[in-house]
Amino acid sequence: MKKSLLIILCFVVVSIGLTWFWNEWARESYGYFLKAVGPPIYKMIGFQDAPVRALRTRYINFVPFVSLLLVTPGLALKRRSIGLVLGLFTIFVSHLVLNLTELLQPGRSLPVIPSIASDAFPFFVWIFVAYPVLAKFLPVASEPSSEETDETDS
Amino acid sequence: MSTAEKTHDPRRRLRTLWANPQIRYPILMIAYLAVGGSLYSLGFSRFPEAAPELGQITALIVHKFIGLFTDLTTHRDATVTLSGFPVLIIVECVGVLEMVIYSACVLAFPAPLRAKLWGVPLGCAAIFGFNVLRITTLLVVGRYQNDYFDFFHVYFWQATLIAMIVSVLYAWIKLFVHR
Repeated sequence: MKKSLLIILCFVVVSIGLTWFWNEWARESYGYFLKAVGPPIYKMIGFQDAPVRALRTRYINFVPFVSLLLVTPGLALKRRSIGLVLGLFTIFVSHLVLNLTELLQPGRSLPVIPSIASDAFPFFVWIFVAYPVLAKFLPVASEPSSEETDETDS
Repeated sequence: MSTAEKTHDPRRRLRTLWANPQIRYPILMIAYLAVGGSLYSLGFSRFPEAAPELGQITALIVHKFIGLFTDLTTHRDATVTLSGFPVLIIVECVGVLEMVIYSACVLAFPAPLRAKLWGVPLGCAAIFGFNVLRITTLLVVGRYQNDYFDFFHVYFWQATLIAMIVSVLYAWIKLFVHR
């Protein structure tokens, strides 16, 4: 119970810090980055007309992923670091995909189903990265393999 | 069948992959999310009047909740006001998206049906409760620390959305699955 409360507290502190960082600096920079990187990628895959306005409010979903990953206890440093980098990259790719919905519904908000996908996506990536720790919550028959268990800190 | 043939049998490999919860759980979650999201979308496109009504109901409940502590609150349609500071509750603020994601997590989880049948409605009720607290906090911040309202509006949206889902899911697993 005490440990759970400590994890929640850590999550609150980390996520408030990251949200501040996002609001103050990262959001605008990420917008410029998407505008610079997006069009050549879209052109490469045949969506040359796709607009990149980079204002969509749900791009903040980096924050819950990073917060969750940083406060998950018992995850090996290697898995945490590689998971963080790959997770951020995956979320960036998801933004490029979600941004294509501008072709169907322009504006700051995403349509409903992409909104759900965007909200749930960091959670999925976290489940995948933190699986060795989360597997302990699964029923006994689904215990992780010894290889996965070895990766976690005790 | 030799061991080498067994490992190359595509059906067997597929079954082995499916037996791995790391693969199965996210796939099932995506499937349930797709179903839940489609029902949500279909529901609001067939009954567009439901969206403002949900906002109004949430506003009324927030108003009643704050009314337990102070009489400085008023409520009209989907707007709640705390001592002159108004907040309009739109459909995205009522917590239905969070409930859809949480329900997909519960339904995909390898647990007995009975646990899931308890988990979905109780968890959704808990998420709704958290959401009322979230809106109440925003009203208090907006009224008394207005400079921080935009920051908290963003914070209490994406970051706490996931935190709400994870904590309710954790409680469900502890209380109903690992009893």
